[in-house]
Amino acid sequence: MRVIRTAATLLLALAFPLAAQERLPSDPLTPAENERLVTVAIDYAQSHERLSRTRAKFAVVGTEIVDYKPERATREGTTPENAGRYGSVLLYRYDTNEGIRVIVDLRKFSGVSIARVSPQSTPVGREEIERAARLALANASVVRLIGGNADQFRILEPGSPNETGIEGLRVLGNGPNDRCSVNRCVDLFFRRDGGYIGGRVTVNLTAGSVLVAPVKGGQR
Amino acid sequence: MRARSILFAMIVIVMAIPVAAQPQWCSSPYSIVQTFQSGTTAWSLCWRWENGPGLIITHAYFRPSPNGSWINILWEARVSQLFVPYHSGSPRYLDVNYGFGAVPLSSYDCPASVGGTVIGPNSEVCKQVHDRGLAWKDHNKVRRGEELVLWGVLNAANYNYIIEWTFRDDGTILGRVGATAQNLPSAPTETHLHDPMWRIDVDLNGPCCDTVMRLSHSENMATGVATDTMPTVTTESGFVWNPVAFTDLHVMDGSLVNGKRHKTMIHLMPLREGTQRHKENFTKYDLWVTPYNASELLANDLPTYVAHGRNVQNADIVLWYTGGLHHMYRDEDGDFVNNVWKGSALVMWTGFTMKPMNLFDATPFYP
Repeated sequence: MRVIRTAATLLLALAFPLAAQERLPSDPLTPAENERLVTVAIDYAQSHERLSRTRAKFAVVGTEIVDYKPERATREGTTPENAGRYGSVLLYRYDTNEGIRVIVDLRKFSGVSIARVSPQSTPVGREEIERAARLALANASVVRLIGGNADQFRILEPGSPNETGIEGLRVLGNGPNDRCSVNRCVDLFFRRDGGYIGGRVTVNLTAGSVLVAPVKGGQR
Repeated sequence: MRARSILFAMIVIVMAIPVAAQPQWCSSPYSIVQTFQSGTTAWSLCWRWENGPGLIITHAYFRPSPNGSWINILWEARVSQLFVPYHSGSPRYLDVNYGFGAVPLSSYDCPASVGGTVIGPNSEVCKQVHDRGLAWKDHNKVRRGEELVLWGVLNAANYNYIIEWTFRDDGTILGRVGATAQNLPSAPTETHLHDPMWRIDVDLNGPCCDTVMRLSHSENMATGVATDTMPTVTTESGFVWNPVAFTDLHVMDGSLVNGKRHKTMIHLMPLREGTQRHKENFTKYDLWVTPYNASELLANDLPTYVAHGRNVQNADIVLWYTGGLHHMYRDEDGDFVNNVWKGSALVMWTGFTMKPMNLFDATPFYP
Protein backbone atom coordinates (compact mmCIF):
# COMPACT_ATOMS: atom_id res chain seq x y z
CA MET A 1 0.00 0.00 0.00
CA ARG A 2 2.92 2.31 0.81
CA VAL A 3 4.26 1.70 -2.71
CA ILE A 4 0.96 2.85 -4.18
CA ARG A 5 0.83 5.97 -2.02
CA THR A 6 4.40 6.94 -2.95
CA ALA A 7 3.79 6.28 -6.62
CA ALA A 8 0.58 8.29 -6.54
CA THR A 9 2.34 11.26 -4.93
CA LEU A 10 5.11 11.15 -7.49
CA LEU A 11 2.73 10.86 -10.40
CA LEU A 12 0.54 13.69 -9.21
CA ALA A 13 3.61 15.87 -8.73
CA LEU A 14 4.64 15.11 -12.31
CA ALA A 15 1.18 15.81 -13.64
CA PHE A 16 0.66 19.10 -11.80
CA PRO A 17 4.17 20.49 -11.31
CA LEU A 18 3.04 24.09 -11.01
CA ALA A 19 0.13 23.74 -8.70
CA ALA A 20 2.15 24.71 -5.64
CA GLN A 21 3.60 27.89 -7.17
CA GLU A 22 1.74 31.14 -6.68
CA ARG A 23 3.11 33.41 -9.41
CA LEU A 24 5.16 32.29 -12.39
CA PRO A 25 8.21 34.29 -13.56
CA SER A 26 6.41 36.33 -16.24
CA ASP A 27 3.04 36.87 -14.55
CA PRO A 28 2.28 40.58 -14.00
CA LEU A 29 2.90 42.15 -10.62
CA THR A 30 0.15 41.88 -8.01
CA PRO A 31 -0.75 45.10 -6.13
CA ALA A 32 0.82 43.64 -2.96
CA GLU A 33 4.02 42.72 -4.82
CA ASN A 34 4.12 46.16 -6.39
CA GLU A 35 3.92 47.91 -3.06
CA ARG A 36 6.64 45.78 -1.51
CA LEU A 37 8.79 46.04 -4.63
CA VAL A 38 8.88 49.84 -4.36
CA THR A 39 9.76 49.73 -0.65
CA VAL A 40 12.58 47.22 -1.18
CA ALA A 41 13.95 49.14 -4.18
CA ILE A 42 14.05 52.45 -2.30
CA ASP A 43 15.69 50.80 0.72
CA TYR A 44 18.24 49.07 -1.49
CA ALA A 45 19.12 52.26 -3.40
CA GLN A 46 19.39 54.28 -0.19
CA SER A 47 21.55 51.65 1.52
CA HIS A 48 23.91 51.81 -1.48
CA GLU A 49 23.93 55.62 -1.27
CA ARG A 50 22.36 55.97 -4.71
CA LEU A 51 19.23 57.73 -3.46
CA SER A 52 18.53 60.52 -1.00
CA ARG A 53 16.82 59.58 2.26
CA THR A 54 14.65 62.69 1.86
CA ARG A 55 11.47 61.56 0.10
CA ALA A 56 10.89 64.94 -1.56
CA LYS A 57 14.17 64.58 -3.48
CA PHE A 58 13.03 61.71 -5.69
CA ALA A 59 9.96 60.42 -7.52
CA VAL A 60 8.78 56.89 -8.23
CA VAL A 61 8.37 56.80 -11.99
CA GLY A 62 7.21 53.26 -12.62
CA THR A 63 7.37 49.56 -11.84
CA GLU A 64 7.23 46.42 -13.94
CA ILE A 65 8.02 42.73 -14.02
CA VAL A 66 11.45 42.08 -15.51
CA ASP A 67 12.35 38.90 -17.34
CA TYR A 68 15.72 38.84 -15.70
CA LYS A 69 18.38 36.39 -16.83
CA PRO A 70 21.03 35.62 -14.26
CA GLU A 71 24.55 35.61 -15.66
CA ARG A 72 24.66 31.82 -15.54
CA ALA A 73 21.72 31.70 -17.98
CA THR A 74 23.99 32.47 -20.92
CA ARG A 75 26.02 29.37 -20.12
CA GLU A 76 23.54 26.91 -18.64
CA GLY A 77 20.19 28.15 -19.91
CA THR A 78 17.25 29.22 -17.82
CA THR A 79 14.05 27.35 -17.08
CA PRO A 80 10.88 28.60 -15.37
CA GLU A 81 11.91 26.51 -12.39
CA ASN A 82 15.31 28.14 -11.88
CA ALA A 83 14.61 31.59 -13.35
CA GLY A 84 13.11 33.26 -10.30
CA ARG A 85 10.81 36.26 -10.44
CA TYR A 86 12.07 39.83 -10.62
CA GLY A 87 10.67 43.33 -10.65
CA SER A 88 12.08 46.70 -11.69
CA VAL A 89 11.54 50.14 -10.18
CA LEU A 90 12.46 53.31 -12.02
CA LEU A 91 13.15 56.32 -9.81
CA TYR A 92 13.96 59.91 -10.73
CA ARG A 93 16.34 61.94 -8.56
CA TYR A 94 15.56 65.65 -8.43
CA ASP A 95 18.82 66.33 -6.57
CA THR A 96 21.11 64.92 -9.27
CA ASN A 97 18.76 65.07 -12.29
CA GLU A 98 19.09 61.41 -13.22
CA GLY A 99 17.11 58.21 -13.18
CA ILE A 100 18.01 54.95 -11.51
CA ARG A 101 16.60 51.52 -12.26
CA VAL A 102 16.61 49.06 -9.37
CA ILE A 103 16.01 45.35 -9.99
CA VAL A 104 14.57 43.35 -7.12
CA ASP A 105 14.34 39.58 -6.58
CA LEU A 106 10.63 39.12 -5.83
CA ARG A 107 11.07 35.70 -4.25
CA LYS A 108 13.59 36.99 -1.69
CA PHE A 109 12.47 40.63 -1.78
CA SER A 110 16.06 41.80 -1.97
CA GLY A 111 17.84 44.17 -4.34
CA VAL A 112 19.81 42.71 -7.25
CA SER A 113 21.22 45.67 -9.17
CA ILE A 114 21.14 49.45 -9.66
CA ALA A 115 21.73 51.14 -12.99
CA ARG A 116 21.78 54.81 -13.98
CA VAL A 117 19.31 56.11 -16.57
CA SER A 118 20.09 59.38 -18.36
CA PRO A 119 17.89 62.35 -17.39
CA GLN A 120 16.43 62.74 -20.89
CA SER A 121 15.49 59.08 -21.02
CA THR A 122 13.93 58.87 -17.57
CA PRO A 123 10.16 58.84 -18.02
CA VAL A 124 7.87 61.04 -15.95
CA GLY A 125 5.74 59.42 -13.29
CA ARG A 126 2.30 59.99 -11.93
CA GLU A 127 3.67 62.14 -9.07
CA GLU A 128 5.24 64.54 -11.57
CA ILE A 129 2.14 64.79 -13.76
CA GLU A 130 0.11 65.62 -10.66
CA ARG A 131 2.59 68.35 -9.75
CA ALA A 132 2.50 69.70 -13.31
CA ALA A 133 -1.31 69.79 -13.20
CA ARG A 134 -1.28 71.69 -9.90
CA LEU A 135 1.10 74.27 -11.35
CA ALA A 136 -0.94 74.60 -14.53
CA LEU A 137 -4.34 74.93 -12.88
CA ALA A 138 -2.95 77.73 -10.70
CA ASN A 139 -1.98 79.66 -13.83
CA ALA A 140 -4.49 82.26 -15.05
CA SER A 141 -3.65 81.73 -18.74
CA VAL A 142 -4.30 78.00 -18.44
CA VAL A 143 -7.61 78.59 -16.64
CA ARG A 144 -8.64 80.97 -19.44
CA LEU A 145 -7.65 78.40 -22.08
CA ILE A 146 -9.76 75.63 -20.54
CA GLY A 147 -12.80 77.85 -20.16
CA GLY A 148 -12.57 78.77 -16.48
CA ASN A 149 -13.86 75.59 -14.91
CA ALA A 150 -10.64 74.15 -13.51
CA ASP A 151 -12.34 71.92 -10.96
CA GLN A 152 -13.66 69.49 -13.58
CA PHE A 153 -10.13 68.58 -14.69
CA ARG A 154 -8.46 65.72 -12.81
CA ILE A 155 -5.60 63.45 -13.88
CA LEU A 156 -6.99 60.67 -16.04
CA GLU A 157 -6.12 57.17 -14.83
CA PRO A 158 -4.33 54.98 -17.42
CA GLY A 159 -6.96 53.55 -19.74
CA SER A 160 -9.72 55.67 -18.20
CA PRO A 161 -12.84 55.97 -20.36
CA ASN A 162 -13.54 59.44 -18.90
CA GLU A 163 -14.10 62.07 -21.55
CA THR A 164 -12.88 64.96 -19.39
CA GLY A 165 -9.54 65.19 -17.59
CA ILE A 166 -5.80 65.86 -17.89
CA GLU A 167 -3.08 63.76 -19.50
CA GLY A 168 0.63 64.53 -19.59
CA LEU A 169 3.43 63.76 -22.00
CA ARG A 170 7.20 64.02 -21.64
CA VAL A 171 8.59 66.62 -24.02
CA LEU A 172 12.20 67.19 -25.09
CA GLY A 173 13.55 70.63 -25.88
CA ASN A 174 15.08 71.62 -29.19
CA GLY A 175 18.43 73.38 -28.90
CA PRO A 176 20.21 75.49 -26.28
CA ASN A 177 17.54 78.21 -26.25
CA ASP A 178 14.86 75.77 -25.24
CA ARG A 179 15.04 75.23 -21.48
CA CYS A 180 13.37 71.83 -21.87
CA SER A 181 16.57 70.61 -23.51
CA VAL A 182 18.07 70.48 -20.01
CA ASN A 183 15.09 70.79 -17.68
CA ARG A 184 12.40 68.24 -17.06
CA CYS A 185 9.27 69.26 -18.95
CA VAL A 186 5.81 67.89 -19.69
CA ASP A 187 3.03 69.02 -21.98
CA LEU A 188 -0.45 68.76 -20.49
CA PHE A 189 -3.48 67.81 -22.57
CA PHE A 190 -6.95 68.88 -21.47
CA ARG A 191 -9.53 66.39 -22.64
CA ARG A 192 -13.14 67.55 -22.82
CA ASP A 193 -16.19 65.92 -24.38
CA GLY A 194 -14.00 63.25 -25.97
CA GLY A 195 -11.79 65.80 -27.76
CA TYR A 196 -8.83 67.99 -26.78
CA ILE A 197 -8.85 71.72 -26.10
CA GLY A 198 -6.71 73.59 -28.64
CA GLY A 199 -3.49 75.18 -27.41
CA ARG A 200 -0.26 74.07 -25.78
CA VAL A 201 0.48 73.98 -22.04
CA THR A 202 4.09 73.20 -21.19
CA VAL A 203 5.15 72.82 -17.57
CA ASN A 204 8.83 73.08 -16.74
CA LEU A 205 9.01 70.92 -13.62
CA THR A 206 12.59 71.90 -12.85
CA ALA A 207 11.87 75.63 -12.95
CA GLY A 208 8.28 75.33 -11.70
CA SER A 209 7.04 77.47 -14.60
CA VAL A 210 4.11 77.21 -17.02
CA LEU A 211 4.06 78.31 -20.64
CA VAL A 212 0.83 78.62 -22.66
CA ALA A 213 0.82 78.86 -26.44
CA PRO A 214 -2.08 79.15 -28.90
CA VAL A 215 -2.77 76.64 -31.63
CA LYS A 216 -0.06 76.89 -34.27
CA GLY A 217 -1.41 78.53 -37.37
CA GLY A 218 -4.67 79.32 -35.58
CA GLN A 219 -7.91 77.39 -35.89
CA ARG A 220 -9.06 77.25 -39.50
CA MET B 1 -2.00 -8.30 -7.51
CA ARG B 2 -4.69 -5.77 -6.66
CA ALA B 3 -2.05 -3.16 -5.75
CA ARG B 4 -0.35 -3.63 -9.11
CA SER B 5 -3.65 -3.18 -10.96
CA ILE B 6 -4.36 0.05 -9.08
CA LEU B 7 -0.86 1.35 -9.80
CA PHE B 8 -1.24 0.47 -13.50
CA ALA B 9 -4.62 2.21 -13.63
CA MET B 10 -3.15 5.34 -12.03
CA ILE B 11 -0.30 5.44 -14.54
CA VAL B 12 -2.80 5.17 -17.39
CA ILE B 13 -4.91 8.00 -15.92
CA VAL B 14 -1.92 10.28 -15.46
CA MET B 15 -0.62 9.56 -18.96
CA ALA B 16 -4.03 10.54 -20.32
CA ILE B 17 -3.81 13.97 -18.65
CA PRO B 18 -2.32 16.34 -21.22
CA VAL B 19 0.90 17.41 -19.54
CA ALA B 20 2.08 20.54 -21.32
CA ALA B 21 5.52 19.94 -22.75
CA GLN B 22 6.25 23.61 -23.33
CA PRO B 23 7.91 25.60 -20.52
CA GLN B 24 5.44 27.27 -18.18
CA TRP B 25 6.68 30.84 -17.77
CA CYS B 26 3.30 32.37 -17.06
CA SER B 27 -0.20 31.37 -16.07
CA SER B 28 -3.63 31.94 -17.63
CA PRO B 29 -4.66 34.25 -19.29
CA TYR B 30 -1.09 35.35 -20.06
CA SER B 31 -0.03 31.97 -21.46
CA ILE B 32 -0.97 31.15 -25.04
CA VAL B 33 -0.34 27.84 -26.76
CA GLN B 34 -1.56 28.04 -30.32
CA THR B 35 -1.75 25.18 -32.79
CA PHE B 36 -3.08 25.74 -36.29
CA GLN B 37 -5.59 23.90 -38.43
CA SER B 38 -2.77 22.08 -40.15
CA GLY B 39 -2.00 20.55 -36.76
CA THR B 40 1.64 20.65 -37.76
CA THR B 41 3.22 23.64 -36.05
CA ALA B 42 2.56 25.54 -32.83
CA TRP B 43 3.56 28.62 -30.84
CA SER B 44 3.85 28.89 -27.08
CA LEU B 45 4.32 32.35 -25.57
CA CYS B 46 3.45 34.72 -22.76
CA TRP B 47 2.07 38.23 -23.03
CA ARG B 48 1.55 40.96 -20.51
CA TRP B 49 0.58 44.60 -20.46
CA GLU B 50 2.88 47.12 -18.78
CA ASN B 51 1.71 50.72 -18.62
CA GLY B 52 4.27 52.62 -20.69
CA PRO B 53 5.57 50.17 -23.29
CA GLY B 54 2.19 48.43 -23.60
CA LEU B 55 1.89 44.89 -24.95
CA ILE B 56 5.03 42.84 -24.25
CA ILE B 57 5.72 39.33 -25.56
CA THR B 58 7.93 37.00 -23.56
CA HIS B 59 9.21 33.44 -23.84
CA ALA B 60 8.09 32.69 -27.39
CA TYR B 61 8.76 29.10 -28.48
CA PHE B 62 8.00 27.52 -31.85
CA ARG B 63 7.36 23.82 -32.48
CA PRO B 64 8.00 22.98 -36.15
CA SER B 65 6.39 19.52 -36.07
CA PRO B 66 3.85 17.77 -33.86
CA ASN B 67 6.47 15.56 -32.23
CA GLY B 68 9.30 18.07 -32.43
CA SER B 69 10.89 19.99 -29.59
CA TRP B 70 9.90 23.50 -28.63
CA ILE B 71 12.55 25.89 -29.94
CA ASN B 72 13.12 29.08 -27.99
CA ILE B 73 12.92 32.11 -30.30
CA LEU B 74 12.34 35.17 -28.10
CA TRP B 75 13.05 35.95 -24.49
CA GLU B 76 11.21 39.25 -24.69
CA ALA B 77 9.99 41.75 -27.29
CA ARG B 78 8.57 45.21 -26.65
CA VAL B 79 8.10 48.70 -28.01
CA SER B 80 10.85 50.48 -26.12
CA GLN B 81 10.09 54.04 -27.19
CA LEU B 82 7.86 56.12 -29.48
CA PHE B 83 9.54 59.34 -30.50
CA VAL B 84 7.33 62.03 -32.08
CA PRO B 85 9.14 65.15 -33.37
CA TYR B 86 7.19 67.90 -35.19
CA HIS B 87 8.44 69.56 -38.36
CA SER B 88 8.92 73.04 -36.85
CA GLY B 89 11.44 71.51 -34.40
CA SER B 90 9.10 71.62 -31.42
CA PRO B 91 7.46 69.82 -29.70
CA ARG B 92 9.45 66.58 -29.52
CA TYR B 93 7.57 63.96 -27.54
CA LEU B 94 8.57 60.65 -25.99
CA ASP B 95 5.25 58.79 -25.97
CA VAL B 96 6.49 55.82 -23.91
CA ASN B 97 7.96 58.12 -21.25
CA TYR B 98 4.85 58.16 -19.14
CA GLY B 99 2.95 55.14 -17.84
CA PHE B 100 0.12 55.32 -20.33
CA GLY B 101 -2.38 52.51 -20.04
CA ALA B 102 -4.40 50.34 -22.38
CA VAL B 103 -7.61 51.33 -24.09
CA PRO B 104 -10.08 48.60 -23.04
CA LEU B 105 -11.27 46.56 -26.02
CA SER B 106 -14.72 45.19 -26.82
CA SER B 107 -16.21 42.77 -29.31
CA TYR B 108 -16.47 45.73 -31.72
CA ASP B 109 -12.66 45.94 -31.74
CA CYS B 110 -12.16 42.20 -31.79
CA PRO B 111 -15.17 40.38 -33.26
CA ALA B 112 -15.46 36.60 -33.19
CA SER B 113 -16.26 36.75 -36.91
CA VAL B 114 -12.57 37.54 -37.62
CA GLY B 115 -11.32 34.92 -35.19
CA GLY B 116 -11.10 37.41 -32.35
CA THR B 117 -11.33 36.98 -28.58
CA VAL B 118 -10.79 39.77 -26.07
CA ILE B 119 -8.45 38.59 -23.32
CA GLY B 120 -6.84 39.98 -20.19
CA PRO B 121 -8.17 41.08 -16.79
CA ASN B 122 -8.86 44.56 -18.15
CA SER B 123 -9.84 43.48 -21.70
CA GLU B 124 -6.59 44.97 -22.91
CA VAL B 125 -5.68 42.51 -25.66
CA CYS B 126 -7.36 41.12 -28.77
CA LYS B 127 -6.29 37.61 -29.75
CA GLN B 128 -7.06 36.69 -33.35
CA VAL B 129 -6.40 33.39 -35.08
CA HIS B 130 -7.19 33.51 -38.76
CA ASP B 131 -6.33 32.80 -42.37
CA ARG B 132 -3.34 34.86 -43.59
CA GLY B 133 -3.63 34.26 -47.32
CA LEU B 134 -1.41 32.10 -49.47
CA ALA B 135 1.50 30.39 -47.76
CA TRP B 136 2.73 29.17 -51.12
CA LYS B 137 1.40 28.52 -54.64
CA ASP B 138 2.85 26.03 -57.12
CA HIS B 139 0.83 25.76 -60.34
CA ASN B 140 -2.14 23.59 -59.44
CA LYS B 141 -1.00 23.06 -55.87
CA VAL B 142 -1.64 25.63 -53.18
CA ARG B 143 -1.51 26.04 -49.41
CA ARG B 144 -3.08 28.82 -47.37
CA GLY B 145 -1.52 29.89 -44.09
CA GLU B 146 -2.74 30.86 -40.65
CA GLU B 147 -1.55 33.23 -37.98
CA LEU B 148 -2.02 34.19 -34.37
CA VAL B 149 -2.24 37.96 -33.83
CA LEU B 150 -2.12 39.69 -30.44
CA TRP B 151 -2.74 43.41 -30.24
CA GLY B 152 -3.59 46.10 -27.74
CA VAL B 153 -3.97 49.87 -27.85
CA LEU B 154 -1.74 52.29 -25.92
CA ASN B 155 -3.63 55.38 -24.82
CA ALA B 156 -0.88 58.01 -25.28
CA ALA B 157 -2.93 61.18 -24.58
CA ASN B 158 -4.33 62.43 -27.90
CA TYR B 159 -2.75 59.55 -29.81
CA ASN B 160 -3.57 55.84 -29.75
CA TYR B 161 -0.91 53.32 -30.75
CA ILE B 162 -1.91 49.84 -31.85
CA ILE B 163 0.84 47.50 -30.70
CA GLU B 164 0.58 44.29 -32.66
CA TRP B 165 2.51 41.00 -32.62
CA THR B 166 1.88 38.28 -35.21
CA PHE B 167 3.03 34.67 -35.02
CA ARG B 168 2.60 32.72 -38.24
CA ASP B 169 2.26 29.00 -38.72
CA ASP B 170 5.56 28.97 -40.67
CA GLY B 171 7.57 30.39 -37.75
CA THR B 172 7.57 34.01 -38.97
CA ILE B 173 7.04 36.84 -36.45
CA LEU B 174 5.81 40.33 -37.32
CA GLY B 175 5.98 43.35 -35.02
CA ARG B 176 3.95 46.40 -36.02
CA VAL B 177 2.80 49.70 -34.58
CA GLY B 178 -0.19 51.59 -35.93
CA ALA B 179 -0.66 55.28 -35.09
CA THR B 180 -4.19 56.68 -34.96
CA ALA B 181 -6.67 58.92 -33.00
CA GLN B 182 -6.50 62.70 -32.61
CA ASN B 183 -3.95 65.13 -33.95
CA LEU B 184 -1.94 67.26 -31.51
CA PRO B 185 -4.29 69.87 -30.01
CA SER B 186 -1.65 72.60 -30.19
CA ALA B 187 -0.53 71.88 -33.76
CA PRO B 188 -3.14 69.66 -35.44
CA THR B 189 -2.13 70.52 -39.00
CA GLU B 190 1.65 70.29 -38.55
CA THR B 191 3.45 67.37 -40.20
CA HIS B 192 5.35 65.11 -37.82
CA LEU B 193 6.89 61.66 -37.49
CA HIS B 194 6.06 58.74 -35.23
CA ASP B 195 9.17 56.61 -34.66
CA PRO B 196 8.48 53.32 -32.87
CA MET B 197 11.66 51.77 -31.45
CA TRP B 198 11.53 48.05 -30.66
CA ARG B 199 13.72 46.07 -28.28
CA ILE B 200 13.85 42.42 -29.34
CA ASP B 201 15.66 40.01 -27.04
CA VAL B 202 16.27 37.06 -29.36
CA ASP B 203 17.17 33.83 -27.60
CA LEU B 204 17.45 31.41 -30.50
CA ASN B 205 17.65 27.97 -28.88
CA GLY B 206 18.14 29.65 -25.50
CA PRO B 207 20.13 32.65 -24.22
CA CYS B 208 23.51 31.19 -24.99
CA CYS B 209 25.75 31.64 -27.95
CA ASP B 210 23.94 33.72 -30.54
CA THR B 211 25.84 35.53 -33.28
CA VAL B 212 24.54 38.32 -35.55
CA MET B 213 25.51 38.86 -39.16
CA ARG B 214 24.59 41.88 -41.28
CA LEU B 215 23.46 41.21 -44.85
CA SER B 216 24.63 43.66 -47.49
CA HIS B 217 23.74 43.18 -51.14
CA SER B 218 25.37 44.98 -54.08
CA GLU B 219 25.54 44.65 -57.83
CA ASN B 220 28.34 45.67 -60.14
CA MET B 221 26.62 48.07 -62.55
CA ALA B 222 29.06 47.25 -65.38
CA THR B 223 28.97 43.47 -65.24
CA GLY B 224 25.57 42.85 -63.62
CA VAL B 225 27.19 40.48 -61.18
CA ALA B 226 25.73 40.78 -57.70
CA THR B 227 27.29 39.77 -54.41
CA ASP B 228 26.06 39.43 -50.86
CA THR B 229 28.33 39.91 -47.89
CA MET B 230 27.48 38.94 -44.33
CA PRO B 231 30.08 40.25 -41.92
CA THR B 232 29.74 39.15 -38.32
CA VAL B 233 28.85 41.84 -35.80
CA THR B 234 31.55 41.45 -33.18
CA THR B 235 30.94 44.40 -30.84
CA GLU B 236 27.76 46.23 -29.95
CA SER B 237 26.88 48.92 -32.49
CA GLY B 238 24.25 50.61 -34.63
CA PHE B 239 23.68 50.22 -38.38
CA VAL B 240 22.03 52.30 -41.08
CA TRP B 241 19.38 50.49 -43.10
CA ASN B 242 20.27 50.76 -46.76
CA PRO B 243 17.39 49.95 -49.13
CA VAL B 244 19.79 49.32 -52.02
CA ALA B 245 21.77 46.83 -49.91
CA PHE B 246 18.71 45.03 -48.46
CA THR B 247 20.28 45.51 -45.03
CA ASP B 248 18.99 43.05 -42.48
CA LEU B 249 20.32 41.21 -39.45
CA HIS B 250 20.71 37.42 -39.30
CA VAL B 251 20.81 35.76 -35.88
CA MET B 252 22.42 32.34 -35.67
CA ASP B 253 22.71 30.02 -32.70
CA GLY B 254 25.95 28.23 -31.97
CA SER B 255 24.47 24.75 -32.25
CA LEU B 256 20.93 24.81 -33.65
CA VAL B 257 20.61 23.04 -37.01
CA ASN B 258 17.74 21.55 -38.97
CA GLY B 259 17.45 17.92 -40.14
CA LYS B 260 19.85 18.63 -43.00
CA ARG B 261 22.47 19.87 -40.50
CA HIS B 262 22.09 23.41 -41.83
CA LYS B 263 22.37 26.29 -39.37
CA THR B 264 19.03 27.69 -38.27
CA MET B 265 18.76 31.49 -38.39
CA ILE B 266 16.29 34.29 -37.82
CA HIS B 267 16.35 37.27 -40.23
CA LEU B 268 15.20 40.65 -38.94
CA MET B 269 13.85 42.48 -42.00
CA PRO B 270 12.40 46.02 -41.92
CA LEU B 271 8.94 46.81 -43.29
CA ARG B 272 9.13 50.53 -43.97
CA GLU B 273 8.19 53.46 -46.18
CA GLY B 274 11.06 55.79 -45.31
CA THR B 275 13.91 56.47 -42.92
CA GLN B 276 13.67 58.78 -39.93
CA ARG B 277 16.67 60.92 -39.02
CA HIS B 278 16.60 63.58 -36.32
CA LYS B 279 19.08 65.63 -34.33
CA GLU B 280 18.88 63.15 -31.42
CA ASN B 281 21.71 60.61 -31.45
CA PHE B 282 19.41 57.68 -30.75
CA THR B 283 17.83 58.21 -34.18
CA LYS B 284 21.09 58.05 -36.16
CA TYR B 285 20.80 54.30 -36.79
CA ASP B 286 17.93 51.99 -37.71
CA LEU B 287 19.30 48.71 -36.39
CA TRP B 288 21.36 48.09 -33.25
CA VAL B 289 22.88 45.06 -31.57
CA THR B 290 23.72 45.01 -27.85
CA PRO B 291 24.44 42.27 -25.34
CA TYR B 292 21.60 41.43 -22.93
CA ASN B 293 21.36 43.63 -19.87
CA ALA B 294 18.12 43.60 -17.85
CA SER B 295 18.49 47.29 -17.00
CA GLU B 296 18.88 48.42 -20.61
CA LEU B 297 15.28 48.86 -21.70
CA LEU B 298 15.10 52.39 -23.12
CA ALA B 299 16.01 52.95 -26.76
CA ASN B 300 16.82 56.62 -26.18
CA ASP B 301 19.87 55.49 -24.23
CA LEU B 302 21.24 53.28 -27.03
CA PRO B 303 24.19 55.59 -27.79
CA THR B 304 25.22 55.26 -24.13
CA TYR B 305 24.75 51.50 -24.10
CA VAL B 306 26.89 50.85 -27.18
CA ALA B 307 29.64 53.20 -25.98
CA HIS B 308 30.91 50.33 -23.82
CA GLY B 309 32.00 48.38 -26.91
CA ARG B 310 30.93 45.04 -25.42
CA ASN B 311 31.21 41.73 -27.24
CA VAL B 312 28.11 40.44 -29.03
CA GLN B 313 29.63 37.44 -30.76
CA ASN B 314 28.61 34.03 -29.45
CA ALA B 315 26.69 35.87 -26.76
CA ASP B 316 23.24 36.60 -25.34
CA ILE B 317 22.17 39.40 -27.70
CA VAL B 318 19.41 41.99 -28.04
CA LEU B 319 18.31 43.54 -31.37
CA TRP B 320 16.81 47.03 -31.63
CA TYR B 321 14.91 48.36 -34.61
CA THR B 322 13.46 51.81 -35.34
CA GLY B 323 10.71 52.48 -37.87
CA GLY B 324 9.17 55.77 -38.95
CA LEU B 325 5.74 57.08 -39.95
CA HIS B 326 5.53 60.37 -41.79
CA HIS B 327 2.17 61.89 -40.85
CA MET B 328 1.10 64.75 -43.06
CA TYR B 329 -2.14 66.45 -42.08
CA ARG B 330 -5.15 65.94 -44.31
CA ASP B 331 -8.78 66.98 -43.96
CA GLU B 332 -9.72 63.38 -43.18
CA ASP B 333 -7.88 63.74 -39.82
CA GLY B 334 -10.48 66.10 -38.35
CA ASP B 335 -11.04 69.74 -37.39
CA PHE B 336 -11.86 72.02 -34.46
CA VAL B 337 -15.48 72.32 -33.36
CA ASN B 338 -16.01 74.91 -30.56
CA ASN B 339 -12.28 74.86 -29.70
CA VAL B 340 -12.27 71.04 -29.29
CA TRP B 341 -10.67 68.81 -31.93
CA LYS B 342 -13.08 66.36 -33.55
CA GLY B 343 -11.98 63.54 -35.81
CA SER B 344 -9.54 60.64 -35.85
CA ALA B 345 -6.53 60.09 -38.08
CA LEU B 346 -6.75 56.78 -39.91
CA VAL B 347 -4.26 54.10 -38.88
CA MET B 348 -0.73 54.26 -40.36
CA TRP B 349 1.52 51.21 -39.89
CA THR B 350 5.23 50.46 -39.67
CA GLY B 351 7.11 47.42 -38.41
CA PHE B 352 9.39 44.52 -39.20
CA THR B 353 9.35 40.81 -39.91
CA MET B 354 11.47 38.06 -38.38
CA LYS B 355 11.74 35.27 -40.90
CA PRO B 356 13.24 31.88 -40.03
CA MET B 357 15.81 30.21 -42.28
CA ASN B 358 16.59 26.49 -42.13
CA LEU B 359 14.12 26.03 -39.31
CA PHE B 360 12.34 23.40 -41.42
CA ASP B 361 14.02 20.89 -43.68
CA ALA B 362 11.81 21.92 -46.63
CA THR B 363 8.90 24.22 -47.55
CA PRO B 364 6.49 24.04 -44.61
CA PHE B 365 3.31 22.07 -45.28
CA TYR B 366 4.45 20.99 -48.78
CA PRO B 367 2.81 17.64 -49.61
